[in-house]
Amino acid sequence: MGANILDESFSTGGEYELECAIKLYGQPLLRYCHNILCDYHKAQDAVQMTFIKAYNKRSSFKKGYSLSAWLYSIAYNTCMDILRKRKILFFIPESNNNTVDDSTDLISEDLKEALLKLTGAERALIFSRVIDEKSYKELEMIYQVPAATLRKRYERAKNKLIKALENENSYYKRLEEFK
Amino acid sequence: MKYDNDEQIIKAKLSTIKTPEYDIATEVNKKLEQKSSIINKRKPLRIAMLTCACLMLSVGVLAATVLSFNKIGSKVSPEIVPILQPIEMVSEDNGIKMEVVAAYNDDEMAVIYLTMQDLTGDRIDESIDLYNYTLSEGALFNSQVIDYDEETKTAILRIQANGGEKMDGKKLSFVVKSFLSGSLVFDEVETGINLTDIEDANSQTIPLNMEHVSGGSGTMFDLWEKQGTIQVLKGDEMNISLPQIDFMYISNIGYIDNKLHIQTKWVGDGIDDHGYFYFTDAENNALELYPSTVHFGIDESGNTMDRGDYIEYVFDLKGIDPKEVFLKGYFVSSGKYIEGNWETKFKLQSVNPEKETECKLDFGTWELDRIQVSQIGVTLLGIGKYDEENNPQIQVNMTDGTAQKMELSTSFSQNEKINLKYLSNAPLDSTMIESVNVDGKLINFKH
Repeated sequence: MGANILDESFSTGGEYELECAIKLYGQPLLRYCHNILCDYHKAQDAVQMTFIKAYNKRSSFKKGYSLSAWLYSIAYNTCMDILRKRKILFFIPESNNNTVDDSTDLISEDLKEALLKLTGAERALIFSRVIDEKSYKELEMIYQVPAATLRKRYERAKNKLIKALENENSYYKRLEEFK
Repeated sequence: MKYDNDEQIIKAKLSTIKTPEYDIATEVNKKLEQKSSIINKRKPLRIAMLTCACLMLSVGVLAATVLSFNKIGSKVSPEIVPILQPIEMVSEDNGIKMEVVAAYNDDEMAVIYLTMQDLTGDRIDESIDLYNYTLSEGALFNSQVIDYDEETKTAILRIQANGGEKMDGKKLSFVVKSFLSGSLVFDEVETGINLTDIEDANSQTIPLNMEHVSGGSGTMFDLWEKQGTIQVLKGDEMNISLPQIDFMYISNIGYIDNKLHIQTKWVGDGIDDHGYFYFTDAENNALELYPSTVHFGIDESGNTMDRGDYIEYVFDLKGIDPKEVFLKGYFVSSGKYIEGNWETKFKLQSVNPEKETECKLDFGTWELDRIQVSQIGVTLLGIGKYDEENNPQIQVNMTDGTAQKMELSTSFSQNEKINLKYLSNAPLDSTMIESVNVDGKLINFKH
């Protein structure tokens, strides 16, 4: 089933429509959540929760809207809830809250260090623009924030990440030299 | 999309992240099947404030269970592990085993990790919620479930106690007298109530003497207490039941003095059934509109009395278009209430020493007179009236030139004694602390 047909049928559909939505958006959403949470297992939980919430609330999804944007919006809020929950459990500021990822080969240590200097919201925005190549118009629908504000936030997040990557690089270079 | 240089670097880096594919559909279907049999089961958050508990039985025994300590270690943030102290004290009662496994602390705050396991039945699940519990030191307690193992019916809980004095090195007792489990959470409950159908006037009211209320909350509550007597809706004028909710119903709804009153009657036998109403917009986003509440009873002749099952939720909807908002509810039925006596005694000893210095900083309504820095974070102690809107900003400067900003975790004020706790993102080495920056003013710690 194509994206357009699914946009029309999801709200009144059933298990078949859910299966189609998972086929179409499941893996991209998993990558999105993985980038936000920097934890593959938590990302798996987040993407499952996203589809369960979407399925349970499908009647509130309006025909004619983009199902993709709606699912990304649910995934984003789910990831933010997971990050907030961790913050409550451990009382550690999110930027330094290293989520326990037992699969370190999935994200290199230096990249993870740099990404964790950003907030979850900043990681989401960076991924949406740079990897998913979403337009600000699409991002407006996902984050419910005006495009102009998103542009500013994106520029700030981008500069922050570049600075963090530079720091990590110079640290690792120094480490190599030391060795 | 055209990328600038920075974006090219970021894209190259992010493209190295590997996200293996897995069978999302199967997992989602499994969860949906489970959900259909247990209605949105979640753990309700509780903030408990208990002051004392009578200790009757003492069944604490030492258990050399290194396994439990390791398990806790795998469930917490890796930064915490180096400061975790093994406790491993067990108490068993009523076929349920409680083990205080590990803890970390400073003089003001303690975090305890414990397990609760049902050895004989199915009374513990992931919704376990400690109801009557206390630590012999501290004034503000908070408990949360961090893990549940279905196979062994064991829940791992994290207890945070704040407001202690000189806790480090002290022998403490931790007691649990009762807990709830099997709670059912009903979220996004559609009330089906259309605000435009509610008449602005003509709501029949009865007076409520605020001395007769058994509880309440919200920004209007203080004002009501000052007024002495307020008007609430006449009891049981309606009976609006909500989908799947059999432990409460809406007993009246209407406007009083331009404020929306929703009166509810709680008829279930759960010891801690609770919930609240909220509004969403057309896109199902929850609006930041919080009700004030008042709890009271109504006698047979329709007058208010001090004990009872009614809660009235009062919303100030000024500036809100009733046609554009939807009234929804979040309700929790508390399930099983299990009583027993689980008690352990243990000594807390922080891994790193604590530093303290006196100072005088004026914050208008209160004065800071002491700062403590521990392995967990910074405690500001002062006297006066705490202003929640203006929390001091804190930064800790280390002797190696690094600095760390800290976030306020808990604020606690009693008899004008103020206690603000700022937590570090990783354990602090107090021997390395040079100074603490409080709202731009430097307090020196290097002596």
